[in-house]
Amino acid sequence: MSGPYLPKGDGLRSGSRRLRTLRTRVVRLGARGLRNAVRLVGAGAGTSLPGLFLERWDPTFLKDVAATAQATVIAVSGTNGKTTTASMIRHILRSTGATVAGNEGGSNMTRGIWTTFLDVTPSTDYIVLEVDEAVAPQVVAALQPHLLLLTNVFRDQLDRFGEAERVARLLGQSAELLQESADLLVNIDDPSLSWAVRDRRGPVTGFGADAMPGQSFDTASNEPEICPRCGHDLSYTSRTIGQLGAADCHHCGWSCGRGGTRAQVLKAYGLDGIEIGIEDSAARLAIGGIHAAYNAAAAVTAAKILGVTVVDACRSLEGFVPRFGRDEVLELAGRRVHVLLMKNPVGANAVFGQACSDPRLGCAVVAVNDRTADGRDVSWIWDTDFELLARAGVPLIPSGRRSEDVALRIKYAGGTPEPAEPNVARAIRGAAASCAEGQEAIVFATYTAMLELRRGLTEGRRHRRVEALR
Amino acid sequence: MTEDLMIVHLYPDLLRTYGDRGNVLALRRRLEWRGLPVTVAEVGRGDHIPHNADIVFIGGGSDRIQRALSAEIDQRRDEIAGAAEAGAVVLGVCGGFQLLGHSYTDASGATTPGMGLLDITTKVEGPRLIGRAVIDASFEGSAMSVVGFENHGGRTFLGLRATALGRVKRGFGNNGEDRSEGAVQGRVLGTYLHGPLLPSNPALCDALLAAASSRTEGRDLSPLDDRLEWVAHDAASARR
Repeated sequence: MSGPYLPKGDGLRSGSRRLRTLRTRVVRLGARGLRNAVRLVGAGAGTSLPGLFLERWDPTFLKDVAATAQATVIAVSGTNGKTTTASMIRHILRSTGATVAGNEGGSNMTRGIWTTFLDVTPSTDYIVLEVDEAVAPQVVAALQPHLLLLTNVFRDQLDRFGEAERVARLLGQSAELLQESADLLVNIDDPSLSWAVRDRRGPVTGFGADAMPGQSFDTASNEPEICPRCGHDLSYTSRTIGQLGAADCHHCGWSCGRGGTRAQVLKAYGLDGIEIGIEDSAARLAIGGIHAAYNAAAAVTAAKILGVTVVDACRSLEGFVPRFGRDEVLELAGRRVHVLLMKNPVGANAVFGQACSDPRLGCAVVAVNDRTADGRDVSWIWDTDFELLARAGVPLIPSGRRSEDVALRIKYAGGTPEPAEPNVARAIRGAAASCAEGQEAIVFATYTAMLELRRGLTEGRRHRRVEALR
Repeated sequence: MTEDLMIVHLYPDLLRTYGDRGNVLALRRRLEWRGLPVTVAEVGRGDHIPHNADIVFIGGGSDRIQRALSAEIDQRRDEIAGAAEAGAVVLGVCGGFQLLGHSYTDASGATTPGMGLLDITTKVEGPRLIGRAVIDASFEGSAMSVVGFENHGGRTFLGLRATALGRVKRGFGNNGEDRSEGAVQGRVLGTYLHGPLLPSNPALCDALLAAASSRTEGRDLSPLDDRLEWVAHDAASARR
């Protein structure tokens, strides 16, 4: 039976395709509207809700966009340095005149990534994404990025991941899922990561960083590491932070690899950043610590793979302004306040070291929260070098939801904690006020403590405005 | 002159998943603050346990690290048992707790023998037990509340010779079934609670120090100003 309303064969399929296209259009329009609405009412950056909506109603969205978009996709994953490295890559690419999209709000779970694709147009040249370790295999499989960059594996949020080994396995899986023709860029100073990507079929490019000659790192704060192949002790010829360094196993002969594109720290300016050298170029960065050198090495190597010269990439990084909480500087009560994010022992030790090397340090707030995004288990602060802070001899203000634990940690480190101030914004105002002329205050904050600080400071401004109206 | 109290820290660079250094730091500081002399000996792979150990502490590592250490621990078994027989306090936390037992069976079904100083066996089963915990504990006759955080895949069951360190008020405890938490057998004890365990549980820390000091004259554990410790303890106890 045939009739005018029942097209056969191809016609049927094309009809339903048209219908699906219509539905898809409506859903995507809805998702965009949702994002704009969230932004408009000020309920956030609108980075998660639209993605959630798309995940539910338009599961093929990502594949469709990835297939039609001409853009080159770059994915960055690993424990530390995702946000900074991804923003450095965007910054370098933009400085070449390219149009770059990305999850710049740091919303790095699938829904945040899905939302990012709402902004992708045919003229988008690059999409640079930071991807949470837990969803990395899923995102790599769905998007097949042209470049996957893996920063490092440190123990972090163990109440979420159980063991750091699980994160290494997730990143290893992502490397295996990556197409052979794509580029894989890994931190070759990381033995866990080198071992995790061993089954990668395609080529692997490495990056690394070297401290200033003569600079020693406290081995007490190193991460536990043994030969990933045979379990014997690793020997290091050089070591930077955590388990990173040039490691060999004398027992079975395994080596975590050498070479790659490396950043050498040439000079350190404490809170004002570092100067690094990569190949024949040098760059003065506004962010400091050996961790900044790793991030820069990763970003410059990624840019090099994408066709930007090392000279141009380094020149571009000189103008790189850090993202909120990653070495950001605020001004309060006429004093400069540095906001440094910390989330695990390795990262915290790196920022403690950076801050304590600066003679302008006048007062420090240590704000530890225990929400899901911070990790509910705060035992990591006992693996963190508070002894270094205690020796700095400046007032230390415990803050955040776990200010009591911070106070206790400072006491056992040999310091005398100031009275705890759980409210981060109030604590940092107090810290700024206690700084003498020429001194600067620091807040070391876990992720949600940093968000609370931002909210607390803007609320203060609104309050003042309200008071003025009265 | 009082002799130094000897604290032995086993494999501090490898068994240190959850702030385990904090436990040794708490023991050491609480002696120093009382003017009592103390030595901390860090034992690495291939090292012997000092014969004059008063306290032996064993922290936790990942499955991978603990597997790599199993042969080594086999060789130390008699030395640690000797220290315990001579009256030393032996404390294992999380992975260290499991190592003190008869055996540990991992997710693949492979069984690694432990030191057998505690009459317990551990088997990995089901999802990891993760969260805040509070227990009503008792050690050498003193009762106390102990707070901490637990994160373990293993389920531990007590044999007849071991008693629980405490009863679970909140959390999972040894196995999520019988409300027991930790184990005590003489002066050997273990628990899943970290946080780390001792800084925010000063009563337990001092009970261990008292037990370890009882063999020597002149180690008086005078009271300390523990206001910060109890604030942290009580906040953890009230936290949901």
